Amino acid sequence: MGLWRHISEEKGKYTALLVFSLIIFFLVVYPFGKLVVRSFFTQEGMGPTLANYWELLTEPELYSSLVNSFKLGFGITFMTLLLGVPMAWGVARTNMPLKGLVRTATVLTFASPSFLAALAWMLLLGPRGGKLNLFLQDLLGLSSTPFNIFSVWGIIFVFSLFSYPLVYFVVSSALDNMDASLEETAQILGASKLRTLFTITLPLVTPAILAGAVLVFIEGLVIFDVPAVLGTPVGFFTLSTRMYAMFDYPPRFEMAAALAVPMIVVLVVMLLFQRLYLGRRQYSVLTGKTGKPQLVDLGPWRWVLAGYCLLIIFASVGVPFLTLIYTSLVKAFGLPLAGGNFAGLDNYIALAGRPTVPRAIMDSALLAVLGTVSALSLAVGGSWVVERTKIKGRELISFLMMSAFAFPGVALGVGLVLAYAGKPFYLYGTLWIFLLAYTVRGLPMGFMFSRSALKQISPDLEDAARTLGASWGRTMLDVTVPLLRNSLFGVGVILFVFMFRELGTSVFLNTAGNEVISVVIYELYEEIRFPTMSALSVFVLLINISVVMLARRLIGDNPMRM
Amino acid sequence: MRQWKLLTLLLIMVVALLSAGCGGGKQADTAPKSAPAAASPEADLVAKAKAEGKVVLYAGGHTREGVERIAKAFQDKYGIPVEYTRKGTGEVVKMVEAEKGANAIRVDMISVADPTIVMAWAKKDVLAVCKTPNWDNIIDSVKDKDGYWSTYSITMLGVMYNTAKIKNPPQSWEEIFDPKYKVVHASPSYSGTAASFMNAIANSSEGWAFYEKLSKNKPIVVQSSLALPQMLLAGEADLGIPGIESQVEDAKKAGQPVGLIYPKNNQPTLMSPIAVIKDAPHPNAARLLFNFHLSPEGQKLLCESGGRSVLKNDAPSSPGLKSMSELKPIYTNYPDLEANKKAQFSKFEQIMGASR
Repeated sequence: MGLWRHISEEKGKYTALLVFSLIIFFLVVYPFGKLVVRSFFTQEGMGPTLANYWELLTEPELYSSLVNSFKLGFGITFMTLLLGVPMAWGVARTNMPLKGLVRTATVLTFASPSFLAALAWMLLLGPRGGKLNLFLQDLLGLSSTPFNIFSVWGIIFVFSLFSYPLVYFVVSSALDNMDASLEETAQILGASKLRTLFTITLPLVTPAILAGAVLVFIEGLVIFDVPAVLGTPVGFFTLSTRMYAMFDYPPRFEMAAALAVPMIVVLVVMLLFQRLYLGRRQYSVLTGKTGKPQLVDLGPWRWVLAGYCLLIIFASVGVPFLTLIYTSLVKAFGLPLAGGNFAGLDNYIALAGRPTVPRAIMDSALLAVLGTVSALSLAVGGSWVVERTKIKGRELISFLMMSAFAFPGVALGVGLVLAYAGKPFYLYGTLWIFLLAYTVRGLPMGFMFSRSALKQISPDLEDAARTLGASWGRTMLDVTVPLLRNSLFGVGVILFVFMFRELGTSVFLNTAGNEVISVVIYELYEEIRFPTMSALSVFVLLINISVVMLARRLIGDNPMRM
Repeated sequence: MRQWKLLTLLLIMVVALLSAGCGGGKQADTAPKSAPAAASPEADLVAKAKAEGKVVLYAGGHTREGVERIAKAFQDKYGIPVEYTRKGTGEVVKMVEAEKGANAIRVDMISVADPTIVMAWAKKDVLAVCKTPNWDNIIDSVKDKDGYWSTYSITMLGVMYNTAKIKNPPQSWEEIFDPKYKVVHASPSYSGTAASFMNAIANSSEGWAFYEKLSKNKPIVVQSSLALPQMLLAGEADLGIPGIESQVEDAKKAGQPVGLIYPKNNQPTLMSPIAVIKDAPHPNAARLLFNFHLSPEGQKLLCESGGRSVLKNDAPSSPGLKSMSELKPIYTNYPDLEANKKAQFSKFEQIMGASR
């Protein structure tokens, strides 16, 4: 039979694989590879050596930041599971009210850069001047304010509120596409609702829960904005905030790369763990037989669950949004909104006068759309390779796709500049390098979601098509993609919102004429023009809300359902 | 079919992105033809600069208002557009290093708020020698002997405060050490400005005792000087060190309730240097812009934007700012800072109990 014959029969498949591998190489392997290789050399260029890693483990400052990052990772994972899983179950499988609100609000949670959420919570729970703190102190007659947002729990709190949707999306999508017959069988056999939940439903979506947990754990290790605002004032440093200093003068790219490596190691470990744990078990539940799942009737408890979700939404979206609106209406930040301090719409009008704003909005929108499309295409391709082929070493693709998560924004920016600014690419100073950055940024989430979705489609359907004589290409286009379409559209909206507000890498790649809107927001922050900054943030949020509502209109109420 | 419609839409977007991207720094590209080159070297430089078409500036030391004014004036005078990107000093450093690392230098001229950077770069062959025609009229202590860089603006460092919350601000260091004030200080390891401040104080009559006294009140230490106004305006702290004169002036003009205290005892100064990058893509235009910054005309513009002149004679005054004769400036010893950075930062962190 021979390998060549096999390949020529499956031309479509192998061409796609080749193209895909090349893209992944240039997009991920090359820039990150350059950075990682550098971690094995000293500042003066001598090596290869493990000196940087030794320094990481022995220098107390660096070591403590490593420990702190892990504390954050675990804390955030714990909290986001607490927030996201019940919400996902509530929306997908029960007769809880207010589902529409939950669906829209969760996408909006990360519609603004996280530093704004950190700022908003600082205004409320700062130990000295936090408005909510002072109010509670008065109310309860305490001698000092009850909460201090400048702490490890403060960071966990704020960031969990910001990132729990990652868990929510993955888990609710899996629950939506689950065949309810197993649950129904359990009910018929007399199991209580709670028992069904814990012995059937949740175990069936374990891959999704694990996937979400891995995502947020890594995010917890890597986040910069929130620890920078809430951690550094009290000396709580993380790998990312320490890493930031490595890029200042004199730049220690090699040390920064070495700092990124523990994150990569964790990533690999988590992925291996996921594979081992899930390896043998069967999770596919979409087998071509339809079954409209019957919703679990919670009776009066559904209001309790809805209340819980509402509380989460209020804290994660409501608080930052309201704070921003409030701040956008004052003339001088920090002073109460009274009489002379009311600016009305002045700050918004001032935005129109700032020349970079309209252009930045357009550039951001364009980049977000194209970035989403490219990231999703690659993500689907990658998921397919991992789930549907038997190619040896295909888990490497998983790793590559997720690796972008392990690098804070600025590291990605440096990697891309090092790789693509010079010959023969010359991409620096154009919007193209932004597109590369956004695509890479979108790969981890895109991959997680599409892999989850693909896992739930039984190969039976594709096999049936192949048996009937369809080529690989035809099968993909006519069977697989349509089945994934709604799921992907839902993910697409999330990626759009995520890219529209991307800050870490954009700030670094920013050059004149290539502004994106998040950078303009950050610039206003740097110029201490908080009211104008808030006005622009509110405006951006409104754009995001419109996009999300439009998307829901186009694909119906339940984007994740197939 | 739907797939094709979607693909067409995408294709249109790619084209749009291409044209947007190629636009790049949308400025008028070529300058109008200049007058015929005269015999003088200056006119010669101008002609060559015009032929280059534009100059790229990464502005880490300028305020937004400052760079906008000077870019406009330069363009009005010579017809050469200035493509400037306003970033933090840290960002400028990263960009230059990354461009160097990729062998793709895009930038012509830089400004930063930390002289130790250009001092180090001068030694590492990153900068081009660039003495202006009026080089001798620039204060000696603020320029590089060999001509690799020069300060273009001096700004005073003081103590930032929230004018809405504090009506009678403290006027001397002793008053500032009063436990009733919560102080927030930027970390010298992360903020070049804070490093300058620390070194100036440590080398002055205040010495390290200053920080011993300050640490008794458990000040908050933040990473960047950007976090200072945030803390002050949110009520988490009363006084912020170091307050940068030009930044505070800028914010005041925008209506924000920040003010600067010039402590009676002494005031550290901050130098913002400019330099031209070696192998810059537009070397002559870069040189011309460098000269312009240090010319009386350029200096006047910068003073109007809240900076202070570096010229010895005929220095323009800075409207609205206290004149130098009323102040007691103390200076950072940059060679000392550069040589002993690590030791000094550690000492700071140790005294202030910064890291845990």
